Amino acid sequence: MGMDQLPEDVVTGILSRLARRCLARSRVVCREWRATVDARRLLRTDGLPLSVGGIFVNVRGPAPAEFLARPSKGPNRISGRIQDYVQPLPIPMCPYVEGCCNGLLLVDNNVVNPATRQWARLPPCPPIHGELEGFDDYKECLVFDPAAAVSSPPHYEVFLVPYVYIDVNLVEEGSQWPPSPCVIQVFSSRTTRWEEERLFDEDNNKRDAMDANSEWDSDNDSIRDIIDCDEKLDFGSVASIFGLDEDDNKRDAMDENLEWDSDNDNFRDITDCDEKLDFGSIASIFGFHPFREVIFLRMWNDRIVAYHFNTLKVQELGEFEVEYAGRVIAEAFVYTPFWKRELLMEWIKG
Amino acid sequence: MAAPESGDGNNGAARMVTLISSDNTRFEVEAAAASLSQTLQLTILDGGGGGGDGIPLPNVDSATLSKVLEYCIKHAPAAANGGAPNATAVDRAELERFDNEFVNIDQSVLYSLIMAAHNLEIEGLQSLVAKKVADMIKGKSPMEIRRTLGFPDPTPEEQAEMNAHMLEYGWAYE
Repeated sequence: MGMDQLPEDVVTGILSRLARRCLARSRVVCREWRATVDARRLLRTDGLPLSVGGIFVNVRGPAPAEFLARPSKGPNRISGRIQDYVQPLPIPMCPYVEGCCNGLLLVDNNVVNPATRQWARLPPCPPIHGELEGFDDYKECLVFDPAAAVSSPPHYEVFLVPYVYIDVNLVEEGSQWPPSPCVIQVFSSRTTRWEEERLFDEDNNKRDAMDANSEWDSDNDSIRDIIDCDEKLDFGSVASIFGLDEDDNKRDAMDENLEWDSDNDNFRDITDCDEKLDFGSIASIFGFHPFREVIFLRMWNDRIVAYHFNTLKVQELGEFEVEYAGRVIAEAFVYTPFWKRELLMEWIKG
Repeated sequence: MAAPESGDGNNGAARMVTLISSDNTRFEVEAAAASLSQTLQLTILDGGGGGGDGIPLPNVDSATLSKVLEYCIKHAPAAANGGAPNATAVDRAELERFDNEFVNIDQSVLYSLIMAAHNLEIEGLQSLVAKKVADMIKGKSPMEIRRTLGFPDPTPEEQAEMNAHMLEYGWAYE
């Protein structure tokens, strides 16, 4: 007995810690290792969030977030009912998607993976000290980089970012934001604890810091629905901005299958519909495809369409009716499923 | 999951259990430490292993078991704290130093440790030894990996197979 006779679980534990290059070399070492790499799909990108699985939508008022996705009968069904993951909340509170990053959701202090139906509850955050003491309004920002998961055990972090409403008239001359040193609480799934992290120490980094701050929201795929804003956007103007109405003939049916669900189910496209899309009416931006030049739009009649900038094609994704009348959409999160189970398992045990 | 505290008694004395290695050596150890093993945890929760009984471990020899228990005793306090949210940075650094030192061992010992951690399902030790082996593999070619881990030399047939598979992920050798 020796290292060439290790049980498969053990080999998996070793190989899953390797970076891709090293893993590819290890695959050559012997038949058993090769079988493990292939069976556990360690080198493949199947589990990574490389397709859009649906869109989570927060609705104003006491209703849980809803999930817009193509109905799927396959074995890999994504559970869009986020209320299944969280402890019942006192009425009228409802689970609300606070953040979404590469397949993980932040829901009411839980990190949730709807694809693997796993979740983990965040421990309570210790009190904030230092310059930011006294701020009571925070936004929790979830950060998860699954590409890093190849070289090290996957982990995610939650940043507790102070939320500041600035009244320009009340700002004192010479006051600075963020304060220096800026110490915020960061939760890491690697350590399973909150720890203080100094963000910006140098004064001259301050400007960058503020930019970074505002970018975090877009990292979280958080897209404010225009309907939520005071001004309604007329699609006619959007169309001219993006060149949507260049040529009527170009608005053909999509041949290409938009990666929407794992069933590879083809979408109905507009040629299948009796009615033409009415581009003259009010539409709102529902979200952006994370890595393709595609914008998701919500039409006046609750239809959701994907518009492909490269091909100038429109594809119908389905209908999104807010379940309760009179509720408005607050936020929409384009969701890319992450299928690997390792991430949340370890911690749930703990 | 907190370490089992049942049977601690109320007088503060920690509950002890006895583990018996494959070569019949008896080890008396705190239940909290032995419970780092998922395999032993249930038996211990059921009240087993106390007194003259002892839990036999036919797959683990005494040298390996003593090494495993060294790890468990060191890590038990942190584990009992539920991942030790109260642990200081000093405590954590000390555990890390201990871990690094702990796996700085002969390969035959490492192999026994891997198998024991696997059989006893000691999660922390499983990751520690897996990480150690992964570190030994890093940056090496397939043949170097085989030599490092003491694999027998490949047969001509295996060698041909290895050469063929090297072509599949050519970028890994650039």
